[in-house]
Order: sequence, then C-alpha cells, then structure tokens
Amino acid sequence: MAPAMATNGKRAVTNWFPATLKGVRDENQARFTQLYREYADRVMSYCLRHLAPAAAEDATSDTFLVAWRRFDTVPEPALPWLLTTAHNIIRNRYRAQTRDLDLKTKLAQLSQLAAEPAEITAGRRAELLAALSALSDDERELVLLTSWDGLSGAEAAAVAGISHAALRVRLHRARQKMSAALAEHSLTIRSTT
Amino acid sequence: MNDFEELSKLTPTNPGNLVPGWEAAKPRMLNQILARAEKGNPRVPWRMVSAAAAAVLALVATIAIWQQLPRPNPVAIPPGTTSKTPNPSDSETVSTKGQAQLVMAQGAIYGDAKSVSICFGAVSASFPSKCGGTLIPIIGFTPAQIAKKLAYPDQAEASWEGLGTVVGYFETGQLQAVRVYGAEDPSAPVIPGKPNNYYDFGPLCDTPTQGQAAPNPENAAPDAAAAALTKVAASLPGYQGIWRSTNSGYYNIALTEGVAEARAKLAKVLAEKFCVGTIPGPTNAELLKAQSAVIPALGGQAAMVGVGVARTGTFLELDVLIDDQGIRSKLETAVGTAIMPYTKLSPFFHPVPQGWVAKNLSATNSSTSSQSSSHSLPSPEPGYQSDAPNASSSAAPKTR
Repeated sequence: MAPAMATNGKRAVTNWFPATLKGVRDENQARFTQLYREYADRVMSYCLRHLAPAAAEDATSDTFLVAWRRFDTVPEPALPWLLTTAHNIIRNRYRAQTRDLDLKTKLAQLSQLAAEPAEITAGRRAELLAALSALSDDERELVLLTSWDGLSGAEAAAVAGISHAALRVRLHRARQKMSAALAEHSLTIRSTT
Repeated sequence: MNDFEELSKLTPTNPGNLVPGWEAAKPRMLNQILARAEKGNPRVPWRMVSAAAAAVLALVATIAIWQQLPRPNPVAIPPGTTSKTPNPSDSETVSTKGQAQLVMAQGAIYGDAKSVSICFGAVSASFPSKCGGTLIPIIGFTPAQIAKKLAYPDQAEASWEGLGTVVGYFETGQLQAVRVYGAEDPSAPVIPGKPNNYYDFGPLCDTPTQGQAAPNPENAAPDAAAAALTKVAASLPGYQGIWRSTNSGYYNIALTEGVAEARAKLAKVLAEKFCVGTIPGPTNAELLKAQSAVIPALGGQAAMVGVGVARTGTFLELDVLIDDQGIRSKLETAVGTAIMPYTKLSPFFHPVPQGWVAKNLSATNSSTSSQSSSHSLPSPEPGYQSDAPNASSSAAPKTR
C-alpha cells in the first residue's frame, strides 16, 4: 500500500497522491499563466526588435518554455529575467535569423511596433525613430532596454551581458549620438522649409 | 520632455501592430509551452508542434506523473469500458425523465475525418496523447467545423486533438453539441473550477517537534527523505496521511490514534521539525479500501479515483460524468455511509447557467443541425453554417 504525500506548491510531488498533485499543478499552471499573460506582449515586442515575426514568435515561445521549466527560479519582477532569457535565446539559437534582418527592416519593424501616443506628433515620432538608426545595434539595444522596457541600469546591463560601468559609458555615448542625430534632423527640416 | 522621455512614450504595447493574429496566437502558444514542457520536448518551433500538444494541457500534467508512480489499486476506467459508443446505461444519471439535460464540459477533444469525441478521464502523456477514459462522441457539427473552432483549421490532419469547451445535450452516451469553443475562447461558458483553498496544506500544529535523528546521507535527496518518512509513517496505527506544509516546510503526519507514541517514534527517524496530529476523516487504509470498490460500482461514470489528505481532513476524490443523486446513491452503496462525507466529486458535465443560456442560446428548434435530435435544440452558433459542409474538404485531413 503506497502512502500519500503532499507537498508545497514549489516542489515536485514525491509519492502517489493524485488529488494533491492536481492541486499543485493547477496552482503552478495558474501562476505561470498569469505571468505569461502579463509579459507575453513585452517579450514578443523585445524579440521583434531583433527578429522577423515568425522567428520572434518562436523565440518568445522558447523564452516562456524556459520560464515554465524553471518557474521556481523566476524572480519578481520577472521582466528583466525574461528579457535576459530572450536575449540569450536569440543570441544562441537565432543568430542566423538576426543576421537576415537588415537595418532597414529592423527600423521598419520598430516603426510599426512603436506606440502612437497622442502627445507625440507623427512628425516627432518619425524623428525619434529615425534617430535610432544612428545607433549601432548594441547601442540601440541599450537605449530601448532602458527607455522602452523600463529597466534600470543594472537590469539592462544584465540583459545585455555587460558590466554596469560599461553600460553607463555606452548608454551615455548612445544618447549623445541620438541627440546629435535629432538635432541634425531638425536642422535639415528647418533648412528645407 | 527631453528626447528620451519622448522616446519612452513610444513604448510598444501591442505586438499585433506588427504581427496580425498575435492575439489569437498567444493562447495557443501558451498551450504548446505547457504541453512541450511536460513532454520534455526539445526545441521545436512552436507553430510546428502538432495540435496534439495543446489538447492535453492540464490533464497531461497530472497523468504524466501518475504513470510513473506506484498505484495501490486501478484508478482509471478499465480498458474494456473505453468505447466510442458507451453503454446507454452509463448516461442515465444525466437524463431526467427521459429528457436530455443541457450540460457543458471542457476537455481533450479528439477528431478525424468522420467523428469527434471528448475525453472523460485520464489523458496519457504520449505523443500524440490518448484518452485513457471514455471517449464521448460529439454530434451536431462536422469534424471540420469543430477543428476550426478549436483553432486548428490550417493544421488539419488525419486525426487531431484539441482542448475545448462543449455545450450540448448528453443523451444515450453522446453529446449533442450546440456550441463548441476553443480553450481560450472568452465567449465560452465558464466551467466551475476548484477554489484556490480547495486543499489546505497548512501545518498541523503550532509548535512542531524537533526530530532527534542524525541526518542520513542516503536521505539527502528530498524524494528519498520523503519516501523514507512515508514508509515509517504508514506503518503507524491509524495512519491518515502525510503532507509537507506549504509555508513552513514541516512534515505533517496525521493519525486517528496514538499521537504521542507516533511523535516519539518519528522523532527518532526524522532530523527536522515535524507535526503529528489528528484530522477529521477515516484512515488511509479505509479510504483505499473504499476506492477499490468505486470503479466496479460506477463503471464508466467515474474516473481518476484517488485518496488524499489535507489539514481539513482525509478524502476520497473522484471525477464523475455528472454529480447527481443517482451517482451519489451508487457511490454511498459502494463506499459506505461512514466514508461518504469524506468523498469529493468533481463532475465532468456541469449544468449550464440559466443566465448564459438566456444570453447565448435561442429557444427555437434547430432546422440546420446536421443531426436530428429528439429534444428542443438551439441553433448552432453563427459562423458554423458557413463552413459546412464544403468547409470539411478545405480543412480536411492531409497527413498525420
């Protein structure tokens, strides 16, 4: 006769206990589903900054698969962890697909992805997005991790796999380049009107 | 507002701007992730995974581990009762005075070019999965219509699986469907679930006992430690069960008698803190004996029988086709009046809320249903008719 053993929500059930098992699985699945619903759009948007739509969907799926398999280790808040995982997955598994996406296509995807808030005019929106083209891929990554994903410096550095000090330097340089590009762009517009 | 504050205002909120169909893809992706994780499936692009993976979802989670665990008694419906044409007598508890009852159910749905069935009972973790319980035929819609509703129209195969909700009349072992919904369809009626506190795995005592045993290297692994402990605990008189508290992490051992003696005995074999106490309900042995009597008594009307323990008491849990007086009477005869108060029933078919019926189903007889029915049948929902019957060829199975 096998005795029954229950366990808490974060550990595997170790003995025959179907009713408990169902409860634990249901609880974990509900928590994971909540996580997925909260962050699927954010992770997908991140992947779309690096990959074409089809590959971005696969990378998003892979990211959440890792999250589900390591659910006990996913911290709160989960977004930096998820983006780090997505970054690693894209780097390790989708490197070829990232090379297939040229700068023009990337910028076009960014333009389609970007929100259209009422307080930003269409012209200003186009300027801001165009200024991103002045940045290298790495610089654009850092700028968007901090401005779009809302990560802190330390979190963005962790996602990008660089030191916090290096991030500060690169981010400062990227912002200078972007500001210069915006100034140049507005100068160009003024001189042609 | 500087440049970067303005840039942050452009933060994307909807990938669907770039990827049409993203909103519809999200729930399917979630299903695939859960199914892939259970199967230990290596990397397969999620869009390429067969629809089979999505079909099993929560059920697989249970069954995958079930199959690897020792079982004291058969717990699923015997193979002989698995049939696409269940015995009509199996359905008697869901009919009232010969009138079919409008019910709803959610589960794994299996289909091919000719027929569709919903699985009542265990779903195996194999790939493709298999229904280990009773397959209840779904009639009223073509297989292609249902496949489309389950969001697999583009991956139609010779046979397919999906997870969905069906509303219909259960009669003579068949489900006459009037509505079919995909797993994540928000318009589907809500199938009642178990509340979050359904099982209370809190500690059994306020002040735990400190074990006196020296740590055993052989029991270093949590599984080994739990197995060693349960072996000792199960030998105690009046053993009811054992669980590990959700928050404290203490082991809790429940007994109907001899608490003090058990505490002293367990302290000698445990190195960590633990609780010993008594909870309402029969012993583990009594529950297992009752469990063995359930399946022969209920046959195809019950599946997934198990015994359990929590702070609120021990219990015998089983899934039944429908929770009604008929099945409760049979159950009481099988397990006895002493066990009956500790029996938890989880019905597969639930009554459809009247409010949902009034809002979603018309009262007119269907003249368009593909199969006749002896009772009043609301019209199939809009959209289905445009698919039938020609749609069955466009969404027809291609390959497995």
